[in-house]
Amino acid sequence: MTTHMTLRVNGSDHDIAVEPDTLLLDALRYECGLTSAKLGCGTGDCGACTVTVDGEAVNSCLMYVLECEGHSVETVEGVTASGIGAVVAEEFVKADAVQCGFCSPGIIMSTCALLARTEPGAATDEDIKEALAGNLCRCTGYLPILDAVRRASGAPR
Amino acid sequence: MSAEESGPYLNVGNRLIRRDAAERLTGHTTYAEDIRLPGVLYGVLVPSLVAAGRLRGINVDRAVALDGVVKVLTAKDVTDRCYGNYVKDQPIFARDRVRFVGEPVAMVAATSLAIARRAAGLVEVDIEATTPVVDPREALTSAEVLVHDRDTNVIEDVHISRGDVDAVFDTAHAVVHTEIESHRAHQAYLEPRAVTAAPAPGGFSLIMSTQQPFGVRAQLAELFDLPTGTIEVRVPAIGGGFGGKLHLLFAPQAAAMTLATGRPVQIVCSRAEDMTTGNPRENSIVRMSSAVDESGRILARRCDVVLDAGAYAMDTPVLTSMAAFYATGPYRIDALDIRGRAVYTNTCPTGSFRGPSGPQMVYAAEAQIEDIAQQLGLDPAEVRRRNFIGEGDRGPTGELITLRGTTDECMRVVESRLQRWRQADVAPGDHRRRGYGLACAWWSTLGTPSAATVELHEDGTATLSSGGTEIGTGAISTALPSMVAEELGLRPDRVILKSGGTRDAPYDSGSRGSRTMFATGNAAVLAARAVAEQIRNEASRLLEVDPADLVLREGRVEVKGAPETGMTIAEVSASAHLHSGPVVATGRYRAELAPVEGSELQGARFLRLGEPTFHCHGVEIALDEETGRVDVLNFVAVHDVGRVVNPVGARGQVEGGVVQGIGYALTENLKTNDQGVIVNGNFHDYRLPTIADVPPNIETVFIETNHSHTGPFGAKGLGEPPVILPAAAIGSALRDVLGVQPYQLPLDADRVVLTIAERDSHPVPGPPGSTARPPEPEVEK
Repeated sequence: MTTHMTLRVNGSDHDIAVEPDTLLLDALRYECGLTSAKLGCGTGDCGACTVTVDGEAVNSCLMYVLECEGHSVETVEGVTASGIGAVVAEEFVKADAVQCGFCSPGIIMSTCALLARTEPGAATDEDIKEALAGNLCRCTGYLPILDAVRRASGAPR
Repeated sequence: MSAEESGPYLNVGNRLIRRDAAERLTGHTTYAEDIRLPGVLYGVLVPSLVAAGRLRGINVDRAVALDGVVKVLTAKDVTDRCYGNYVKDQPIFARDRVRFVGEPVAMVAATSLAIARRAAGLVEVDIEATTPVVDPREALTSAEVLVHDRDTNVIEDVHISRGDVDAVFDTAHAVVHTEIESHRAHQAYLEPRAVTAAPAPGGFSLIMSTQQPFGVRAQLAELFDLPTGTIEVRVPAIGGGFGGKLHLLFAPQAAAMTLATGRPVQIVCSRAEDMTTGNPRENSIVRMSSAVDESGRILARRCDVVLDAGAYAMDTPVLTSMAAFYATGPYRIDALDIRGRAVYTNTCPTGSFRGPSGPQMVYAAEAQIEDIAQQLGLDPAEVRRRNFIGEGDRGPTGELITLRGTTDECMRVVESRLQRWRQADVAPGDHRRRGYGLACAWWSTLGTPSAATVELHEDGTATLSSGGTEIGTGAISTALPSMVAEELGLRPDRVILKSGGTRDAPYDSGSRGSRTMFATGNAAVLAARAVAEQIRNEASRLLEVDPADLVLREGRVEVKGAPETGMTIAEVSASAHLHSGPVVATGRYRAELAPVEGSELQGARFLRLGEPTFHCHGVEIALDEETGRVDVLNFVAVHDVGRVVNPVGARGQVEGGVVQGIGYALTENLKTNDQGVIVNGNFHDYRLPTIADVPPNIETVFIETNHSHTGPFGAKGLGEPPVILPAAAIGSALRDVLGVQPYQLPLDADRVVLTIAERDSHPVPGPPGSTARPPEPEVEK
């Protein structure tokens, strides 16, 4: 039951062959060669697979890739290349908000989705915590992440 | 490259920016699963579904018949040698018997993961289930249910004795008893365990998420009877480990499949597999008694620790010794009778988790201090102060302590914060009760062997080759090159790191035991010093001055006191390459094994702290007495780890460790039912702290006046200590509110409510909360 589809990722179209049950995560990793999104749990509990679809953060391990036809998917490789995503990544570096890095792409994507729906400087700590509560990090203890997101939120866009 | 990255010449002790941070944050770092070799087969393990039983037969016909299946392996297809870090008790696939739910009995390799999974489900396993033993108390005494073909389930029995304990107990002012039970907790690194094996001339290579590639190589060489050099272990970035990636994981199974098929084979655990077949922190029972004088001075201690090893030994033998060792806490006790035992049960094997045996031993030792204080009507901080161990004292095994003891200094900082928090106003309408607690500990820095090579190139840049494993702390990626740069008078960005496995560097004993900065760092610094000497010798020839009069600084070799006389390091290196040879040296390090005196030691595998680190944590909690919910409002972590090489990285270790410690204390609990089944082996039911759960402020303080005599730039190890204290500090804070503290971990809402109910149903005479439970019988001897 292999079908062909066009998946738009980071502004580029990928013509890929997929099964009806191919997950967005697997399509990104193994069909598009973008391995930033990680399989941490496969049940939507850890957020390591977070990407955005039309700007909204989703767990790509819970979404079929066929649902994404005609929509725009972004991964951390794309969003950190320029603009606010690059600012976010830089603030994470400055705050030492990365250790093993396995959760980082997902956390940056959740952050970018938050910043896309809030005005500069408007995100409160509660907003940040709500936006990132689905992203587990086992290394940092979260405080530098909180700090980095606060700074990125305040940065001009 | 940012300005900060090129940095000042003198960088140790300054804020270092992680060299590998940007790459990790932008998704360009490669982890084990990200690498799919051409022609790779996907390996899926067939687990035992029962905790104990006789394996009567395995029928693989239906699996083999499935299109896309290349091979199915069972015990009869592989060597009957077993493996294990200390006790070789684990088969590649269960042979004749199964011993825990999740134990591999077979493995399928197929051309796609989906096919491999389907085929694994078609393997028919015929097991005659037998009664499992899942409770360590039962396993300790049972002669009927034996997990292995031995006459007892006890696999490790350690004694540390010192002084005349019986005489002291007989004449003591008071005897205080404390007994605690602790639970299992999973490392819960975000990257599930992953390994890829591939054929290589004469052997095989691995791409593996492991904390100790050289240990993996040595054990696999023995298991498969191959020369060590025919096995290569490559370690890409690791998505966290915390001790959970120290053992062989599923490398033996992947390697066996590669040897059988001649093709690359990848095994990536699902989260459920990872959490049900890993090596979580062991559950344990700690019984402790102290004989004390009127002032609270501890004159003698008895302790009996039982660790649940699960079905295979893994790291438990050494953890048993560590548990016994840490029974004193950071206190000088001259008479000791400590017994540590580990027992097999038909449960998932347990093992190393950051600060192994630490959290429960600190909890027990600190609860005991609080019990002593309560029983004698003393201030617990004062009791601690009267007992702290320090320079010139001997530790439990008779190791001479050669550094100033600074636990008191750490505790004074914590006490000042607790006092400030007590005075702060509570928001109107907040009905929760506040509690304030603290805990003290000491810990070791593992001094196991490392070598590292430094080569200075013709252009004055250098390469550091280290077999150390960058587990995410930045110690390898950032601190080590910075230390080498400092020794060579180079900017940090002039030192290029080569690491990540066994191929490009000499031996290193892995990322564990808080050792990387210290021991791997020492090897790198020793190599750098030898290179610096070669440069001084060459410059001495060129400048016609005594090498002892030359210094390397800011990229130059200069005459001391006459900095205008000198050459660039690049010029000297180029000259050396032409005239005396390449500028290269290997440093090798193993911490000296100091003598231990005055204790009788039986079966002990962990004898020395090396240079101890000292610690105190303090916490403010809010307790909702209706629900039992505990929230951490404020936290302070004070550590003496000698000189801090990278303050920002060190703070990250402390904050991350504290939050893991809070998780262990309050919400994390890997539960096994009476059939040996782990019932919450997933991230939904196993509750890790999220960003919404962490305290708004974790203050990190370093006492930096007590430099190590032997560590690089005076550094000691930091990785583990932050995780071992939070549970004990929170327990102490609960006692502050309730007058009693739970003696069973975790301190979750259920436990807290039970503790309150128990307190209220057993009113005790004396001052409020004078003892937390009825008197207990003395520890068995």
